Amino acid sequence: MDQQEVHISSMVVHARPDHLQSVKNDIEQLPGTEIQGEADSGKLVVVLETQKQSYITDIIEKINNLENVLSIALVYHQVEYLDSLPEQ
Amino acid sequence: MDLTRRAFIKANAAASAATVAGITLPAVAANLIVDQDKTKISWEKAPCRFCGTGCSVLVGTQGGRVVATQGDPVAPVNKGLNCIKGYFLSKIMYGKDRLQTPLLRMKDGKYDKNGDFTPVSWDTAFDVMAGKWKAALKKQGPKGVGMFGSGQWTVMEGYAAVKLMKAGFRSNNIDPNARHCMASAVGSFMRTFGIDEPMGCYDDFENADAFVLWGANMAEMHPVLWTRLTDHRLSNPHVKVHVMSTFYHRSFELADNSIIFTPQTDLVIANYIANYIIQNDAVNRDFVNRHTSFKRATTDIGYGLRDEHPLQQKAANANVGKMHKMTFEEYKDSVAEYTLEKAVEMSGVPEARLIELAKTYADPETKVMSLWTMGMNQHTRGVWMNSLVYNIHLLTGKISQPGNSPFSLTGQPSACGTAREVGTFSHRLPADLVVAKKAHRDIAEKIWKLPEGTIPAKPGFHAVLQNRKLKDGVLNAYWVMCNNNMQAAPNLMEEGLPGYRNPDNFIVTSDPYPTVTCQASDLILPTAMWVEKEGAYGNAERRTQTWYQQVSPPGESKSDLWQLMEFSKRFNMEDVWSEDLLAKMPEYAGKTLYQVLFRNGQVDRFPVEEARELNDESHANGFYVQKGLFEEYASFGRGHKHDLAPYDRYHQERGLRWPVVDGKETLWRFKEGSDPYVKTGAGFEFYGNKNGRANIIFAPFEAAPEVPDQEYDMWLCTGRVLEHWHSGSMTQRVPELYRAAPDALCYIHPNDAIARGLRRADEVLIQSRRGEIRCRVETRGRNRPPVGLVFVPWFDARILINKVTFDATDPLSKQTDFKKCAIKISKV
Repeated sequence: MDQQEVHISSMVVHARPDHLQSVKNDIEQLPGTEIQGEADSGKLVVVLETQKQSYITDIIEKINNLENVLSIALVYHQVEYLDSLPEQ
Repeated sequence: MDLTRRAFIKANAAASAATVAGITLPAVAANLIVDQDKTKISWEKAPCRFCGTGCSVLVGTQGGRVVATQGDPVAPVNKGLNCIKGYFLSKIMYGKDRLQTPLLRMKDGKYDKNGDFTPVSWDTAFDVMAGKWKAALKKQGPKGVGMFGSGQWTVMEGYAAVKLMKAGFRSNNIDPNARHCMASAVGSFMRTFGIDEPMGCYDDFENADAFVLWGANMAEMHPVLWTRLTDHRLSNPHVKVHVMSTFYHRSFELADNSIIFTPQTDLVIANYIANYIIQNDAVNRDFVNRHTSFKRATTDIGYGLRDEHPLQQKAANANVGKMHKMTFEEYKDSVAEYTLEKAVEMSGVPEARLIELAKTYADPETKVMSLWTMGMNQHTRGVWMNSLVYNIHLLTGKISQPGNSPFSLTGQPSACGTAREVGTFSHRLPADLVVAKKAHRDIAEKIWKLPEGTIPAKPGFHAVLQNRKLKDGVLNAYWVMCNNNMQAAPNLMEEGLPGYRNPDNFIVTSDPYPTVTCQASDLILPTAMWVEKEGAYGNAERRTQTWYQQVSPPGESKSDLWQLMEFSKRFNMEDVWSEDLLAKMPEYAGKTLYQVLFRNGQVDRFPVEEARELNDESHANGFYVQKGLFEEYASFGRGHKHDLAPYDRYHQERGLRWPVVDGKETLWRFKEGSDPYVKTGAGFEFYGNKNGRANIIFAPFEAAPEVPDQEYDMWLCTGRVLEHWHSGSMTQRVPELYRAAPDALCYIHPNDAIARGLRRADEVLIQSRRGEIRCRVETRGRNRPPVGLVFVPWFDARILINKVTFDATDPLSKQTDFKKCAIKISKV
């Protein structure tokens, strides 16, 4: 059952508010991430798309290890098979 | 704009996260979430399968499979958030090596202890198993059979198990893996308050002015609660966070006051704070006079080792838990020796940091929440240590009010709900009753419709003792459910494995996956997990939550509950009860255990029509099994300070915190106005104790049983990391996760590494007096020990750190100290 999977998930990343920009820059460097919202309180909405090979938790771990990231929480996670997701 | 499915799911995901974070997104995204049709996913709530926080999760199923999860936006615990472990939830049930059929060790078509695992039918499995149980009962009596259960059992499973063991087999040899994580907390609750579980609740996170972590890495182990704490800290600049540990970990990143102390000296620090409070006239005299009593613990109590161990022989009062009355003046004199100078010297913590911590507690205007988990419970003086923290809160009256809260966190989803409240410990019965008290046994026998004298009065074998008794050949038929104890229990090579492989013994393990424990067993039973069955969990803040079965388990897997009930059909009462006992209730003659325990007119009183169409246990038995068990269980606590709501209501709520009285949950116990059990005019009432007072229990510093010396020159501390949960038997099935933290590492200070000629990623040998393992060195990263200490996580089945650990326990709680033993480390 090695079907190609796509994982789409969203997270709330809480950064130190005075370092929000640098955290954003760091996150945007990571493959598969999109920052879709932010607040002055230091919170970011990050949407992540990964395939099986791209190891979702590696990226979460990288974000978690970024300087000035205080916490990271998963909100939504869905597994889809690749063939059911036509490209636009 | 034509959104593709991919874009739709992304927008949906973003909108969910934005709502939770209070962030407004562009309208196009926000409009999408109502359009459920496009996902064709059906959503239902369930509490998370992992830690003791008790987050509610919306589980999305499609085509009989879980495909999505979402933090439950209306859940008061997690308010729409999940931690990273939530990512495993949609995959933990679908590991490639999921067990599909019972497996029995066989040779030449027959059971053989040295045979190979061979698929067999459930009938064969239970036939062989029942034969072994009957043989053990005949040879040893009830002490010859035992069960090792779990704080991950559902409430109903734990209840069925305790009933099967204590009433059916008349053996108290049942203990949960919660013995390894919560027993010291329980012991202290009972000694201090006379009733188990925290008085406060998670609402304290938004009400405290200061947080003190006494031995909990919440950032990794309780991330959602940590998020609540972080939110409160960052939006209220006056709030301070004090983090204490024996090594630097991720929670220190938020710390205003960082305290790294020498192992075991938390005993000194707590007594120093009490002394500081008294010396600075910060005792809340009115509260202390009206609501507390002073007690002194018996000292020199040994280390819960085998009786013949030299350290036990040396102890003047091995295993003695008796407390002695004392006055406030005597208490004052007892803590007087714990001066600042002494605390600094023994703990290695700088003076200013200790003073800052003590001041926080002493200041009457600062509301303090103390938090702890394994750092304090896995401690050879864990019961004492829990009480020393309560002492500080009681001296200052900072308890049972919003934000003033000593709070013992739990590690498993139902350590409270199942292990503690149901009473699956070797000494307990439901609702804080204990087997040693006749009045308590009478209550249980009456509810269970059993003759007087059915339940044995002597506590059975606790977790560590079970392994010793297996090794000694006293315990011969043994069932492990819903845990991975071969990997989790201490001193694997000297106690655990020899016990399981003892030719006198037959070991059964029920698990969804082929864990280390399965591999050490003789029979493996494939087990349904989480939303493959209906159940209830109870979290750390007394919140009971239920869920419905949402998918079918794979292959021939069956839930623990089905297995327990089905197994009970294999025994006639004559097989398990003496003639004398049976003569007291002749109507039970010729019946099966199943009929007496589960078809007793109570458990079977709700028709199967009330259950969901997808409810395997109920349809197999012809009645609504989960509801019947829950309601019979709840009758223990209703009207006795442990009230639960009617079962059906829990399916409508995101949990309720007991006691639930007149339909209302209780947030802060023991305080007039918030706890209906406190009498009018009392102010506070610690009604677990007959005199309504909480005990302030003095206990001194006593050294750890094994401290580093010339040969074994370093402390070893074990624990968990965020991406894995406990022994990793579920989370390591998720390949992505497994990659994130593939091998257990040995975290060590760079100076210690240099002194031993080690470089980062070198392979090393870690040796104790009991065993050795190999792993790789990490000198950077998330855990940074001080010089003289190494930290090794225990999730990795290939790096079994419990070959090295010491089976010394708290002599009162019988909980192992996994945080301290002496090792040496060398390059391979």
